[in-house]
Amino acid sequence: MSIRKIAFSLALIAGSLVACEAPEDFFEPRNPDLAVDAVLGTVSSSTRLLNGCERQLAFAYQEILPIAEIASDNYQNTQTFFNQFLDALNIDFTDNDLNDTAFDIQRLRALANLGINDIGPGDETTTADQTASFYFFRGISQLLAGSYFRSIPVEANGALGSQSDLYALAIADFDTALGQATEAATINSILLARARAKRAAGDCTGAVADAQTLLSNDGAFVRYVMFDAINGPENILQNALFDRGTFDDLQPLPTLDFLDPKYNNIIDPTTDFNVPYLKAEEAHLIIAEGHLASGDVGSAKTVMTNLVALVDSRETATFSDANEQRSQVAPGSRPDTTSVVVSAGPNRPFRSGLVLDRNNGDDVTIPVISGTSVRGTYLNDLTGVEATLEALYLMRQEIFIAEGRRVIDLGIAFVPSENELLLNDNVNMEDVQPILPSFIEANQANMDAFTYDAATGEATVTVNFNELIVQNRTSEFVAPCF
Amino acid sequence: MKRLLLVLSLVVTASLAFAQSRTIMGTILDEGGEPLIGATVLEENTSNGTATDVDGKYQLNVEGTPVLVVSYTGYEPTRIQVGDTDVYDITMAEGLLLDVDIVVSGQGVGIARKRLTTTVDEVTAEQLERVPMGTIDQVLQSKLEGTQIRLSSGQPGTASIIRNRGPISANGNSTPVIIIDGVRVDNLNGASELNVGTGGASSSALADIPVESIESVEFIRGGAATTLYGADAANGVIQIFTKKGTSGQARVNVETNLGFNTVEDRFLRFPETKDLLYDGAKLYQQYRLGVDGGSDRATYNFSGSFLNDDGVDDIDENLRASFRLGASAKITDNLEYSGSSAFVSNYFTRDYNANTSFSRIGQIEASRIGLPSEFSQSTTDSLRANLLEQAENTDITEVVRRFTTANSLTWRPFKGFTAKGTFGLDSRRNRTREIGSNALLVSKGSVAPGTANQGYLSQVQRDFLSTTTELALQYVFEAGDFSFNTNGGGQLFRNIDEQVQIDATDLVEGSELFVNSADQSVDQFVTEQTFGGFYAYENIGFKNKLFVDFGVRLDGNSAFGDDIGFVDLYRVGMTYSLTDEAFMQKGQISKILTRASFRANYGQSSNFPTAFSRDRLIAAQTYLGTTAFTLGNPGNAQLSPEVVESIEFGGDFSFLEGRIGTSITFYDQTTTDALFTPPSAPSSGQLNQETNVGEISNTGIELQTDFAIIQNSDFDLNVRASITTNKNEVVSSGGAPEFNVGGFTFLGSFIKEGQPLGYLRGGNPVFDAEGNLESVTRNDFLGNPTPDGYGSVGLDFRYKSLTFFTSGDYQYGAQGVNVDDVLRYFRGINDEGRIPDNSLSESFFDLAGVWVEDADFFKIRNIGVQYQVPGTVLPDAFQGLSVAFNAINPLSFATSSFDPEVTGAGIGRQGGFSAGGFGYGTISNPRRFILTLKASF
Repeated sequence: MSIRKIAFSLALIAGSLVACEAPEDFFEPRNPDLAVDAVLGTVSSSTRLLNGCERQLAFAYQEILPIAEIASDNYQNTQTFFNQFLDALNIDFTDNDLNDTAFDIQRLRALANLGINDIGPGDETTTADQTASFYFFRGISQLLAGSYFRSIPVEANGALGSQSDLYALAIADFDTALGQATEAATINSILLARARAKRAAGDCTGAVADAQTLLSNDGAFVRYVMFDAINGPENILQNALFDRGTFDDLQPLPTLDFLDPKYNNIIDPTTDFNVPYLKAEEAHLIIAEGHLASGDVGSAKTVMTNLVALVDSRETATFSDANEQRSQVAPGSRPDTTSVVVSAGPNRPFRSGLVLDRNNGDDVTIPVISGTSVRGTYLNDLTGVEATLEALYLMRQEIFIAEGRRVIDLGIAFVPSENELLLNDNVNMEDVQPILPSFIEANQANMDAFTYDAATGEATVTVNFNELIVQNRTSEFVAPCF
Repeated sequence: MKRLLLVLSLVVTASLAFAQSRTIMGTILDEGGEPLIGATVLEENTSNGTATDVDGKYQLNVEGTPVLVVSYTGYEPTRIQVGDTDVYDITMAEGLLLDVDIVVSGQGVGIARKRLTTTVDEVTAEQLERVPMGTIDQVLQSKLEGTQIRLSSGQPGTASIIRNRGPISANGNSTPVIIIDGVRVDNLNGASELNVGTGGASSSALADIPVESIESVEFIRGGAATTLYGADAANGVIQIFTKKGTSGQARVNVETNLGFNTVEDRFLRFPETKDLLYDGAKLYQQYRLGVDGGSDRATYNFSGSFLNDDGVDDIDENLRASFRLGASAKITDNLEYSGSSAFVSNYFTRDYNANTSFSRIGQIEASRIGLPSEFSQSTTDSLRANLLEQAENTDITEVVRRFTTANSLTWRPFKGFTAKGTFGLDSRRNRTREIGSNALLVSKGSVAPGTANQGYLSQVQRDFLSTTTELALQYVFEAGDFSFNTNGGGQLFRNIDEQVQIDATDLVEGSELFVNSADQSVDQFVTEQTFGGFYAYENIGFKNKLFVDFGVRLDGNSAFGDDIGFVDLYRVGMTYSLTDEAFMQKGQISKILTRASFRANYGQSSNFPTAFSRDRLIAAQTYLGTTAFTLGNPGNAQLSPEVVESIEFGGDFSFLEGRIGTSITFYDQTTTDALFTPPSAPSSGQLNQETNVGEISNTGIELQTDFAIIQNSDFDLNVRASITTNKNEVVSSGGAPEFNVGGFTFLGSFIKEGQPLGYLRGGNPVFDAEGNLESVTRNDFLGNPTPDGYGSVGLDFRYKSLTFFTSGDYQYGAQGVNVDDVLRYFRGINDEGRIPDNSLSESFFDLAGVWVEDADFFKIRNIGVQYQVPGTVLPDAFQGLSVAFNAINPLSFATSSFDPEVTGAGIGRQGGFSAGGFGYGTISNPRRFILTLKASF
C-alpha cells in the first residue's frame, strides 16, 4: 500500500467520522437549554411551569430547613458543614446560607411571576385553577420571605418590605388565587396558607375562619413539599438527619428525641421523604390559639384533644436507626436510652418516654407527618391560659419539627444578605443588622443547651423557650394572636 | 548617517573587489539535516557577510582564503577556513540553550526561531524519553521552564493544574490549548459537566495523549505569543509534534520500563494510614515497540505501547494500550504529505476520595474512626479487614477510547512560497461508572447489615469530537538587507460534546446493567459549536539582526453568531540581535558575550464567554416524572470575550562561547473585560450571569539559566535553573460582590477586588495569651493559593557513556488549606499546636484561619542514571542498547503539613477556574522506581 493510499484512507476515515452530523448543521450551534421565545405560547407550558414552581419550592425548603432547624432550639449542629454561625444565633449578613435562602424563596416569586405575566396568558390551555396556582406560589414565596426575614425586597431589586408588608402581599395573592381556584386541593392549600399568613399578620379571627373552613373541607388535609431523590432537589434535611449516618450530625433537643429522624429512607431508595408544609394540624393549632387568645381554655383543650386524634391517625415509620448515634463524639454526653427522663426546663417535671434507644437492636417508630407528647393526663391536667399556651407551643414545636417552623415561633428572623446589600440600592447597612427579641438574645448561648447526668438518667433542658414565648406573648415578635 | 556611509562604502568596496573575488557557496544544515534559514555567514574580522536563504543556502564573494564564521542563535559558531574549493556545506552543532533558539514549527508553517519576537519553550525527544512516565503532564513536569504543572492527585490519570505566569481568567481553566501535529485536541483537565461522585477525582484528557513517538513539544506561553492562535489560547499553547520517520532501513526500537510504586508517606498524618492502606510496593510496567524507516520519498514511524500502573493501593489501577502511526511522503517534487494517527484505550479503576464519606483514606486521615494510635490490636485487625472489604466492593471504573488523527499537505510550488493544509480530528469517548452495591454500602457503614434494596448504578458517558481544518500560507523573500516572512491563514474548529448520565436505583446485587435495576433517571448535556478565525502575520528582518513583526487575528464562535461576530486581536513585536553586529564578532568580545538579543512585544489574546451564556434561556428539567420549566441563563446582550493584553520585554544571552545561557522576560498582562460570574441579587431570583466586569493583572519576571560547567569528550556537567515570579490581582470587579470559586463556604476560594484570584477567605481568629478566642475577623484574607514564584532546576552529568540526571521544581509564597485536619477537628482529634486548648470548643467557622498553612515546596521529580552500551561491544544485530534507572518523586520538602500539590476538591465545573489550595483526602504522587531497557535493531 503506498503512502498516498494510506493518506487517502485516513482522510476518508476522518471525513466519515465528521459526517455523523448533517453538513448544513456544521455552523449551527446546539444548546441544551431553550430560548424564552421557544417556550412562550406553547401548549402545556403552564403545566410545565407549575411543575417548575413546585420544584422551586423544594429548592427553597432545601435551604430553609437546615438553617431554620439549626437556628432554633430543635437541633444542635454538633460538627457539620451545615451552618455553624446560626447554631449560636449569630445572624450575619455575610453568611452565604442567608443569601441562598433568600435567593431560592425569591426565585419562586420570579417563576410565579413568569407564569402570571407571560407563560400563563400565552398558553391557550391554561386553566383558571392553574392561574390560581401561580398566585398561590407567589403568595407562598411572599409568606416564606416574610416569615424568615426581618425585611426583604418585595420585588426584584426592589424596596424592602417589612414582615407585615410581605404578609399583606401574600394574603392579597391568596385572595386572588382563591377567587380563581376550582380544584379542592388548590382551594384547601390556599385556605391554610392564608390562615397562616393572617395569623402571622395578627388577624387571628381571619386566620381561625380560614382554618375552620379548611377543616370542614378536609380534616386530614396535607400538602407536601415534594422532593425528587433521583433528579433532585433532594431532601437535604433527610440527608443531615438520617442518610449520612454518622457523618453529619444534627442532634435534637432531648425533649424531641422521640420525633427524630422525621425523614428517613425506609420508603425505597428512589424516594425522599416529602415535607408536609401545609397540614390540617396547623388549622387546629390556629383555632386553639384563637380560643386561648380570647381566654377560652376549655375550648382550646377540646381542639387540642381533637388534634391529638388527628396526630395519632397519621402515619409512622418503623426502621432501624442503628447507624445514627446520639453520643458518638463524646460518649455519654447525650441521652440515648428509654430509661432517661427529661424535663423541659429547670422548673419543669421530668417526663419519661421522650428518649428512644436506637442501638439495642430494635427498630424505632417515628411519626413522619406529626407527633406529640402533649396528650392524656398531661393535656387533661392543663389549667389556665399560660400553662395551656405553653403546651400549645410545645405541640407546635413537636408537630412542626424538621419543618423549619420553630424559628418563626421564637420570633427569630434573618436579614438581607451581603449580595442584596451590594447589588440593590434600596438596601442599606442598617437593614442588614439582625434584630432578636430581647428574651431570645439573653438566652442566645443556650439555644440547644441541656444538662445530662448519665448516672441518674436525668436530662434537663437549660432554657424552656416555650415558657419564654408565653411570658413574652405580647411582644411584637412572638405569639401574634396576643 | 554613519550606518548609511558604512553601507555605501561596503557597496563601493564590494564593487571594486569584484574583479578579484570568487564566490563561496554552500548549505548550512542542523544536525538533523534540516536547512538553517537565516544563519549568518561572515568573513572574519570584516563586515562582509550574508545570511542563508529558506533552503539554508548561501553565497558570499570573498578574496583569497579567508576564514568564514557561521553563526546562528542556538548553535555553536563554526569557523571555516576557505581553501581551494568553492563549496562549503556546514552542519552546525546545537548550542547550550536548546530550548531558546532553534527553528520552530509554530503557527501553520514554520518560522526561523531567530525571527520570533517572543519566547517559545521546547522539550526535545531526548529529554522526553529520559523519563519513563505515562502521561504528558507528568512528562512535562519540571521540564517546561516557566510553566508549573501540579498534579492534583496520585491516582493514575487524574487532573492537573497547568499554569504559566499567573491565572488570567476567573472564567476558565488554566490548561493550555493542546495541539498535536496541528490538530487541536480535547484538553479537559478536570471534571466534566456530568460526572460520577467519586469524591473529587476527575479524570483528565491529558492521560490519554500517547507520549511515545513525540519528536518535540513546544510551549508557547500565554500573552503576546498566542495572539495568532485565537480563542482560548490566552493560557498558552502546547504543541506536540510527532515523529514521521526518517529514511533508511527499518529500525526497530524496544523499550521496557519495569518497576514499582510506593506511597509518598511524608504527608500522611498517621503512620497507620500507610500500614492499613498503602503497604508494600505496587507494580508499574510499560512496554514499547517502535519501527521507523522509509525511503527518500516516504517515511514511517510506528509505535505501540502497553502500560500497567497499579497505583499505590488495592484499588487504583491503570491499564493502557496505545499505538501511533506517523508517516510522510513526497507526493510530487513540490507536494508533501505528513500525517499521524493514534489510538488509545485507557482503563482505570479508582478508589473514593475525601469529598465523600466513602473515602477510605478520609476514614483514617480525617479520623472518622478515631485516633489510629489508640487502636487496640483487635480494632486494627478488624479495621484492616473492613478496609479490605470496602476495597473488594468498590467498583468505580473508567474506560476511554480515543482516536486522534492529523493530516497535512504541504505545497511548495515556487521558491519561498509554502501552503499547508491540515485536517484532523480528536474523537474521545469515555465512560465512568460507579456501582454501589449493597455489600459496598454495608462495608462503608452506610446502611444496616442485611440491607438489600439500596444498590445503585451511576454511569456517565461523554462523547467528544473535535475537528480541525486549517490552511496556512507563507511567502518568504528577501530584498536587499530586508527579508520578509509573510503569513496568512485560518482555522475552523468544530467541537461536539455530548454527555449522558444514567443513575439507577435498587440495582440487583452483582449486576452492572441498568436493566437489572428498579428505576433509572437520565441527565444530559450537549453542546456543539464551531469556532475559528483568520490571521495575517508579517515578519520583517533587517540585515538578519533586527526583526519586527506584527499580526492580526479575527476570531469568531458560532455559539454567539453575529451577536459577537469576529473579535480582532493584534500583536506587534521586535527583536534585535546585538551579537550579529560585526563589531561584536571582533576580538575577544564574542568569546565573552557570545550572544545577546533583545526583544519586546505587545499582543492580545482572548477567551470567549461560555457558549450560549449571552442568551436568555428557559431550562426544562426532569422532576418527579414530569417536565419542569425553570429560569435558565438570564441573558446578557453586551457579553463579549475577555481580552488579555500583554506587554513583554526581555533578552537572551549566552556567555563564554555558550557555556552560560540566560533568558529573561518581564511580563505585564492585563485581562480587560474579564469574564466574571458574580452573584445576582437574591431578590431577582435569577441565576448568576457571566458578564464583562473585571480586570485582572499579572506581572512578573521569567528567568532561565543554563551552565555548562564541564564540557569535554569524556565529561559533561550541565546545570539549569529557572524562576517565574507572579503578582496576581483582581484590579477591578466592576462593583460586583465577591464570589466563591471553590472550597467551602466557611473557608473557600473567592474572587474579590483588590485580592489575588481565588484567594482563600474565611474567619480569621485572634487568640489571647491564654489561648482564648479574643476576636474573629469574618471573611478575612487568609492566603493566596497561587504562588508568588515557582521554577525548576536540573542537572545532567555525563561520564563517557554514563549519564546521571535529576530534575525538580518548587514554589514559594502560596498558601493552602489542610482540610483533613478540619475533618479531624470534628472528631475531636487536633493537630498539636494548631488550636489553643482554650478555644477547642469554638465554632470551626470562626477558627477557619488556623487551617491555612504556607504551601511552599521543593520536589525532586526524578533522579536517573543511564548507561549507553558502547557500540563496540554490541552484537551486530544491535544498533543501540541502553539501560537506565529512574527514581521518580524520590524527595519532597514542604512547609505545609499536607501535600501542597494535591487538591482533593478537584475542579468544580467543566473547564472551570481552579486555584487549587485545598489539600485533602487524596494521595500524593507515588514514589516510583523504574528500570528501563532500550534496544534498537
